[in-house]
Amino acid sequence: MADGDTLKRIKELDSGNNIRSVYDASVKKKMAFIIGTTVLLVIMFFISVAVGAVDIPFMDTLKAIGHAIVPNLVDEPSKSYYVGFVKTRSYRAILCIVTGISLAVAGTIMQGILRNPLVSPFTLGVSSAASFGAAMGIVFWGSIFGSVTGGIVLLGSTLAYEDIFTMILAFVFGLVSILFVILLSRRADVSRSTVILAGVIISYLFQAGVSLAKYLSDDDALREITNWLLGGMWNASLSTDLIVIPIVAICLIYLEFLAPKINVLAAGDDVASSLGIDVKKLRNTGLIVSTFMTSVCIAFTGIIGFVGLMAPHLCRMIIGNDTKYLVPASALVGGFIVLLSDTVGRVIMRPNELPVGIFMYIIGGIFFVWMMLRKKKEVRL
Amino acid sequence: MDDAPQEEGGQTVSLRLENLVQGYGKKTVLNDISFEVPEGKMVAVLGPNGCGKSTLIKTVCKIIPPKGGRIIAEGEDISDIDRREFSKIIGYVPQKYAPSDYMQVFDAILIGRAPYMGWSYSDEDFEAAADAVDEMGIADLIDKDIQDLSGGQIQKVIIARAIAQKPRYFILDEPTSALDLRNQLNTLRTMKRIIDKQNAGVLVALHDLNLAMKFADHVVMLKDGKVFAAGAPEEVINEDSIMAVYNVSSEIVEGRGGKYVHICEDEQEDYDLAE
Repeated sequence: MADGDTLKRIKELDSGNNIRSVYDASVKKKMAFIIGTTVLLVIMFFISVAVGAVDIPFMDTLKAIGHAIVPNLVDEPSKSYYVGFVKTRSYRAILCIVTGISLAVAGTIMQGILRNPLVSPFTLGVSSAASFGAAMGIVFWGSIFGSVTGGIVLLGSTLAYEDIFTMILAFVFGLVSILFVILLSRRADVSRSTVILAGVIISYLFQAGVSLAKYLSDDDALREITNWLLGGMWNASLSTDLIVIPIVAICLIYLEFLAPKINVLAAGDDVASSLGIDVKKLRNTGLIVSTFMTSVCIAFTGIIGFVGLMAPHLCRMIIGNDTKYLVPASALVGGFIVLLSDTVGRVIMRPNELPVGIFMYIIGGIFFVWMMLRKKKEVRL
Repeated sequence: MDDAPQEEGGQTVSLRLENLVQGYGKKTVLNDISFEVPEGKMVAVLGPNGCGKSTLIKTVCKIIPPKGGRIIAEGEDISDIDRREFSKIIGYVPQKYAPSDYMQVFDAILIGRAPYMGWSYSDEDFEAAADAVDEMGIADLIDKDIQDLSGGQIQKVIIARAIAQKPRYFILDEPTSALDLRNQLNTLRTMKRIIDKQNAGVLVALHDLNLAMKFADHVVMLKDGKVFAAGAPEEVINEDSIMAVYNVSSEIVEGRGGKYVHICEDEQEDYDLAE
């Protein structure tokens, strides 16, 4: 074919072939956003480690972290007690980031799968079910295992049996809630509004349970439940990080792997199904994996609201609805928001701490008020 | 149908419905439907609202499994064909495009490559999408948001997506119902062009009898979930069948370029507004 090249030239000149350059340009924009937020998150990490009840000079923060990683190359910080602060704050910052990632990604996936921008681990009842589990753990620990004290020592940090009991119940109930949602919506086929409705119903039922637990509990238990419901990073330690990181990492990779299929769902259930997607299976696995990921985190941290809604929203506004890029982008933004909230919470009333949840509700509320007033570019799915 | 199945090396190249039965719960919507969509032909399904046109389309697209009978594509029962493989054979163009979809046009078209893609798009995917864009003449729209498009433009994007999918058969559910006159004609002309170019088969549910008369090679008229009449459009669409199926009196008139259905309102006593 002598004129093969000519044909190709003509084709390249043809405007239709633009689709590739338009796509590439949009990918570049998305990548720029992802790289930008990565840089912001790294900076936020160092700030978070440096500030607190005792501020550490920035160079000493870098030295302490560097020395911990490559002791031969980096000197110790100027004051040796900095090392301890840097360690505990790093573990906490990592838990913040991982929690933010899991909630934001779960929100992104749930929104994509149910094609509703208002869905999050909250609206589907995961959070209230986990709260219910935790409340049950707190209230009944005394009456069931009252005499048991002590805990497990894991990598130098102690986890009390009582806390472990609470965490396990929170995790299990978080997962149970999504199974309820799936079972409830199974009869009515896979219509997404039934799934959401089922989530709302489950959520109210478990909230009633939490209220009952609060009503029945004594002062100490009530205080503990309230703390749990506000969410906090008090449990952060090397061992919690090491439990949470691999689970969230595996779930994240799996969900990113599902992302192209979730994109197809945006064309509607019928079209997606005609394009070779098993809609029901995709919906169920997506819901279960993202719930698993969030349940693990909130079992340690308690309820952390709004990230699952705010981070994906923000990213959709900036980079659009391609789930492939939304997952990493909202993961980074989610990690950033939780870390920022926790850092502010630690600093704003020092030496006292404000639970991360409170600050999160404040910035979340302001964010959505701003979004409503802005109304320029509507975020839709 | 009056056409015998085309045999090619012993294998039937057509999409064939054999005694198809479909229903929801105890209600039977389609009963004993048999016809075929040969390659390179456009078959129109006609009938009033609620006669089962959409159900038929969705069954053929394997969105709802049939209650009885079989659908044969490429010589194989479609319920035996793997989901992904099936999506390379049949391209579905829905009646309504969910208006809540928020994405850009190029994303919407590339979705049509789902049956072929892995985690990312290949050169072939981009080429197929570019061809589809050229075919529909929507190069100027590719970087627009879907929600900013008009109904006619959205229809073009959905058809472009189906073209990018490169199926052997296009199944369209009332593709013209939301369009103005010009876009109705353009849509069906495009499908005709694709039939000629790719030798694809098209099954289209239509409301407009005149469009069916003008574009379809075969017509299947449904009444109460059964095939009332099937065959060439001029044979099937006549005063009697329109009266029997739609309960509307009409007159077939000879006009420029063929026969036309003229609705006679004067004899009409009650409008059946079922649904």
